[in-house]
Amino acid sequence: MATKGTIEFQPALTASLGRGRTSASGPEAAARAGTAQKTASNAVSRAKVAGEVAKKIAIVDNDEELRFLFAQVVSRRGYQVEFVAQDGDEIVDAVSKGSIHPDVILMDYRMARMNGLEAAAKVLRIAPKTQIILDTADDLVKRDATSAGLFFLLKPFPTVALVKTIEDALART
Amino acid sequence: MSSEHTEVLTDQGAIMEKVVGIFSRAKRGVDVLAERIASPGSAQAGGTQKAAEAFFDILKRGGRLRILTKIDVDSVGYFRELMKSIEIRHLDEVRGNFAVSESEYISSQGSAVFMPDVITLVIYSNSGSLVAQNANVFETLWSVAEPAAERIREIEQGFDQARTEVIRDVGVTRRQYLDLLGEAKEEILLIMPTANAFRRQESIGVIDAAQAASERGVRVSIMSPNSSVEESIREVSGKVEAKVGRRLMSHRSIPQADSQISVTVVVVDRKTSLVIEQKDDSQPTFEGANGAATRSTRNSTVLANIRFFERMWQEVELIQRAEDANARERQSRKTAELLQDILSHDIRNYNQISMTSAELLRANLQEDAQILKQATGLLGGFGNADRLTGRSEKVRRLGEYLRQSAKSRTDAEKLIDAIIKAVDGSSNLIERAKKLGSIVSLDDVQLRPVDLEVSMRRSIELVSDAHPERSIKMSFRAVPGAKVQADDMLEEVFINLLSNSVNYTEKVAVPVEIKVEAATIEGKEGEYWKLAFIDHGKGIPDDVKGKVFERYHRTASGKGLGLSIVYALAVERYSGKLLIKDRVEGDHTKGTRIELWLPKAL
Repeated sequence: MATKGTIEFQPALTASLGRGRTSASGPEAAARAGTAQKTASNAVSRAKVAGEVAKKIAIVDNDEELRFLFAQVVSRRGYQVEFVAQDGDEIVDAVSKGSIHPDVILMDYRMARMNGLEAAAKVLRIAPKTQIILDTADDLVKRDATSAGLFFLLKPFPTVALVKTIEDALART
Repeated sequence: MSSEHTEVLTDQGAIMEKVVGIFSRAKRGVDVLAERIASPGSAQAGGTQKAAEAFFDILKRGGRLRILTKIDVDSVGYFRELMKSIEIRHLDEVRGNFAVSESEYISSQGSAVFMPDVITLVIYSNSGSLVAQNANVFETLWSVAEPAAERIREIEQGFDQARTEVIRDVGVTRRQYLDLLGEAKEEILLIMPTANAFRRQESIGVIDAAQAASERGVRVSIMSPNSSVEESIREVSGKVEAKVGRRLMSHRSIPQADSQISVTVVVVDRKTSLVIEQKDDSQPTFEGANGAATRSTRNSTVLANIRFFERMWQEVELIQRAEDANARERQSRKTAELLQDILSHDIRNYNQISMTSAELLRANLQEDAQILKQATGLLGGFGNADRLTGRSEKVRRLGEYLRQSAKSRTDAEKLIDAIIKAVDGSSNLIERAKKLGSIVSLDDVQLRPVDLEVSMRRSIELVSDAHPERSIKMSFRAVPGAKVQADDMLEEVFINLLSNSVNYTEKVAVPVEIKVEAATIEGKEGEYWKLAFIDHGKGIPDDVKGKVFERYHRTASGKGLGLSIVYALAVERYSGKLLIKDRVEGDHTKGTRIELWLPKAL
């Protein structure tokens, strides 16, 4: 497991070097979204090597550090960080305006205003095909999350768990 | 004598044996409270005769006999004889029967224990506390009872009717009740047995009459069940206080479970009492619900009712105090769970930051190693390079590798910073949780006058020292000598508020203004010092303002426990008030204004 990054290193570098020129959607979309994090340039991409369009991920977390870190992890794996939000209102707002169409949303639970489950329910009402991963430090919400059809990650989790869950979620799309 | 015990007896023979035993063992004497005393002529059973002999035997041994009972027209002749040898006092209302010596106690629910005809159930005890408790009850009643000689004279001279009147017409009772309240000059004591009784009496104007009386300066004390009743009375009492400027009306809630009382008791000016028997609590009207009433100006009767009121008032207060203690205990348990929840949640979050940062850092290092390896490989190939184009391509790629490596190092720095911040954050969190835990678990809070200026200056210094990288400008206009009722933890309140201002101000310069003024709180008694902390931070959106203290009570979000500590101290410990406003009203992005009221120390 620990060597995964190394093994996949070579194609990643190649892909990332070309990325800035070929990918029109990433940085522009991020810029439009306002709070979006700048995507990492050295992204690892298996999907892109195969010539597919990168899957879009949105990240919602009230912790600034975690927004940055998760965006790093996700873009390293070659996914497009489409949107980064700091609370449920922001993501629900963006989805309902139709300005973003994420395949997967990585959603925190405990946030100001509305919690992750409420936000997930609102997003799914507008965009039912969206896959949502609830990542939280609350161990009591797992049942609520899974019975609502969401994926669940209990913080703290290793990067491989995040990547695996994103892959599982994408397999459902 | 056998060891201390309490038992229930039902067998006639055993009861008689106990009764005779108590009388014959008594050294100092025996006190008897009896609903009625049978004259020797009516005694049939041989056992009764035996008990009577043992009873009078006490006198022969030099002991004391006291009887507390009801003397009426029928029994006046018998008591006139009896009072020559034993001390007798009269009470209008005697409920229950018991006899108590210096070491034993016996009580019956059926009839007088020492001369029983029909006995249902008897409790015997030689437990010290039970004996002392009942001896005390006897003394209390004895002190308010009327000596037999006086009572007998009254009956013979026909005074009785004049001073105690039984009212059977509820309409008359109603008028007399309201008149009595209207005549009150100094004090009204009032017990209402049920919440329904309160509603019925409120609708006939009892509460209005009590309010009018207290507005004349009469002290009114009301006891009734149910907390909703308490609210109504508190409202009236607040009005009175606003008008008269003094607290004249007070109220105690009788616990709902205590359904033993079925009478309304009114005592006015310690001179007149009115006891109204309640016969059906389900009836909506005063007339329908109540039965006969007894109005009395007899000293002993009025005093007995006053004692009854006062004993119950104290009892209810004790119960209230016990309930408050329970509530505090529940609250602190709730807080402990919450602290645990906050701790585990936030530490998991910090751990997530550390873990992900470390993993990314490792990936960065591995990439960097690869880049260097490739760059080295490229340099190794330089020697053999012969074509200009090939060489310039190699230089370009080498430059690209170096740029990658430099970026990876910059990223690594960010990741290391994130780890350091997370570790710092969780250490801080543990410190704060510890502090909050000790605040809420402290039951015995000793408040004392604390000088606002001294405390504030020290807090400002501490916060400024903790942020040497910022240029903190705190302007504090002190009111010299201003003191609040608080303790050493007061600085914790200030430090938390000031630190928030620093942490949520994005620029290097942190201007914070602190104002102090004398103030009051609407709807609350007393005087306060009101402090305002005004900053130029990023502010708190309106829909979040209401939730910032919520975390302490239930889940919200955000890191740290700063405002929870402020709330626990300022509001719960110091009985102050806390408000969050915008520096510029209506625009939260211009900064926050926190208003804090703390009770003035006298």
